[in-house]
Amino acid sequence: MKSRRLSYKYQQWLWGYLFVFPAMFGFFFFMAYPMIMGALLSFSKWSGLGTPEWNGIANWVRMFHDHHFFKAVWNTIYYTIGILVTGVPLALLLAMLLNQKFLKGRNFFRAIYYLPVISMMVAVSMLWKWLLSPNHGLVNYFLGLVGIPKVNWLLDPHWAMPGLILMSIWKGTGFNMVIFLAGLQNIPKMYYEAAEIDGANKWHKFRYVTLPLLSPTTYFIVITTMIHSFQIFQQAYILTEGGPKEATTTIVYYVYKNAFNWFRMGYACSQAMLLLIILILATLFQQWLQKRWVFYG
Amino acid sequence: MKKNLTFVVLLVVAVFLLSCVSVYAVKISLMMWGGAVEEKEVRGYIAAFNQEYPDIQVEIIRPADYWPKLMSMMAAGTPPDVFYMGFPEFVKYHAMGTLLDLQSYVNADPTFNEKDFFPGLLSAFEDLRTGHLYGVAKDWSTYVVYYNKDMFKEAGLPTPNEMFGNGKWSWKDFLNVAQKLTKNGVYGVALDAGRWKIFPPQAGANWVQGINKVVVDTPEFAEGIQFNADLWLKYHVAPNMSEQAEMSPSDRFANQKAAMYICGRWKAMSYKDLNFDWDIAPLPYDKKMYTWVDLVAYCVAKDSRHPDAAWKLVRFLTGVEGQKLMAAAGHAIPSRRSVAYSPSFTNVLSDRGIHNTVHLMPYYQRMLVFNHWGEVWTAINRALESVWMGQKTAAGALEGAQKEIDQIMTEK
Repeated sequence: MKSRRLSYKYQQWLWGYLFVFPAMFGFFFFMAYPMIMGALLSFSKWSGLGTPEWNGIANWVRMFHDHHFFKAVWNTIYYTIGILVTGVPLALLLAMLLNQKFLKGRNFFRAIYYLPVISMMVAVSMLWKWLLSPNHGLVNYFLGLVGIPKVNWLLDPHWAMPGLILMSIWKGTGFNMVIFLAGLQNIPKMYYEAAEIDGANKWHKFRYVTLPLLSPTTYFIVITTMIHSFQIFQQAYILTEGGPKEATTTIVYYVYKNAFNWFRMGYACSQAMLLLIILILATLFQQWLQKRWVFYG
Repeated sequence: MKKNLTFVVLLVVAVFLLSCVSVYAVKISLMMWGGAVEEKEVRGYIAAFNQEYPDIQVEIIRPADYWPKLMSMMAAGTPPDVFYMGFPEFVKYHAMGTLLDLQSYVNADPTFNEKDFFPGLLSAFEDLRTGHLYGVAKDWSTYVVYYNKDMFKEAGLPTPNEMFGNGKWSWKDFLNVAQKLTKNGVYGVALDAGRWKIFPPQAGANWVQGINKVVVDTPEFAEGIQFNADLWLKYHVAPNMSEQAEMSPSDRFANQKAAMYICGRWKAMSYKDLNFDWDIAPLPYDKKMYTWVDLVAYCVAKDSRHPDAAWKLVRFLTGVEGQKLMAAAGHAIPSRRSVAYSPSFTNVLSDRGIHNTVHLMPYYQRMLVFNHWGEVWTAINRALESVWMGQKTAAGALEGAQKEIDQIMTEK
């Protein structure tokens, strides 16, 4: 009997794989397989139905001559930078505010700020369509109170993207805020006490204690926000349909148009692959950069 | 323990087997677009279908995003058996070989009666070379002018129908009444910029010259577009772009903030409970009379597992009985003439005279179809955006659009 039993090592191996099997299956079947197929299809002419025809690097060449695609790449970068520069600091500010002990009803406010995150994008977009409406919108009304002339938000090519960014910040800041809150609460009090003894004021404490000790959290937020922002689609799809004058046509929206409206699935795949490459490069760059500013205490 | 396991396994097998045996011999699916109201109506048609064919179960699919869903179902090899198909989209779906040739079914059916259909409706879904039928038109709709009778009476103006009857319903006459009706925050006319397609042919443009030839950089085409844009840019008789975004032209008419409204006939049913008197008139004309026709057919998937049952459903829904049911709902005009001219259709909102739209069909010369439909349409709309905003003239914008169209058309 004993000899027929599996060796301990083999048993460990078997059980290990059995336990990770569901996750591995999901990964290979739903992530790796489509990704590899997408990469292969990016070298083909395919309408989405029937058999793909191999056409070498024609899609990739076309992509580098397609000024609509360039516009989409630029729009996506514009959006991402907009979110990173305004949304992330705002989330930190809110997190610090809601981390104050003296604030009454902190939990209530935390819930309020998180509410947009779990709201449906379609409902949110409808709401913002109204908020951004040029003549009767609330946003223009408040701008008018401080003397800023009417902005034709979603109909003006210069203002459509800022309008989209505004909405996305409102929608997504709560999520980053919660993560910042967790990061803030992880900073041991003793550092602040030590700083106080050394005569640090509020700004010093923020600059030399909070920011460095929070940097792993900030790093995480910057990476995830960047990846999310690069994949922006729903807002453009529901709110502006890529317009006006392509001002809100983002990469994923353009991929969608090519794949499902114009029957250029192969071409859409190569655009999606380029997006993947951009994301990998941007993440690698961040990883290289983090050595200079992320501090693991 | 072991006994329990056997029991569970047996139970699972039994449930599985039971679920396979159902009262229906065949199960097919019907995929549709439209709102919940339309789905309820379709369920009614299916109930009537099941009285005739009790052994065919029909599952209704109404996805949020119709075309991507249809395409992914087809790519997965499990297409819906019967589905809605618009005639511009038909060209591509037929070219990809996804649709079933229905000609043999039609030939085998002596009661099909092709002549009963409005001319042009069946041919829109034919293969250009063989003439075989790949879809059966279920209904059609056309563009009209809705007008607020009370406002016309108050202003002491003859109604558009009267003007049309007297041969005085040209663009100039139309503009003239629109100007007279524009006052006190009420516009003479409301329309969506996206409906420009009705104007260029009225100005005499022949813009779809072949499956690979779309010509928009002509003076006639520009004239039609400019007339549309000038309604708000120059004459200020219609809401401009930001006003269109703020309150949809349809709502503007319903809220009595516009005296006329240009749209498809399908709006009539949602206006039936409005608390003012309204009616429908033909579109104004310039060099010629023209109206656009929207057309939807039922197609059967080539990969359908039950093509015979699918055809029975299509045959029923486009047959006289199915069309009568659909006519009563009133949203679109039945594709069979015998039904469109029968009381089942003419009695729907008879005081609004909406069935008169049936007579507009001849003014639609032919179905406009061309390759790369979606992309060409996008190129034109993109170029026209500056025209609607008053930043470019129609002629200038269309020149750029033509270059892009030519580029798209060179591709296979």
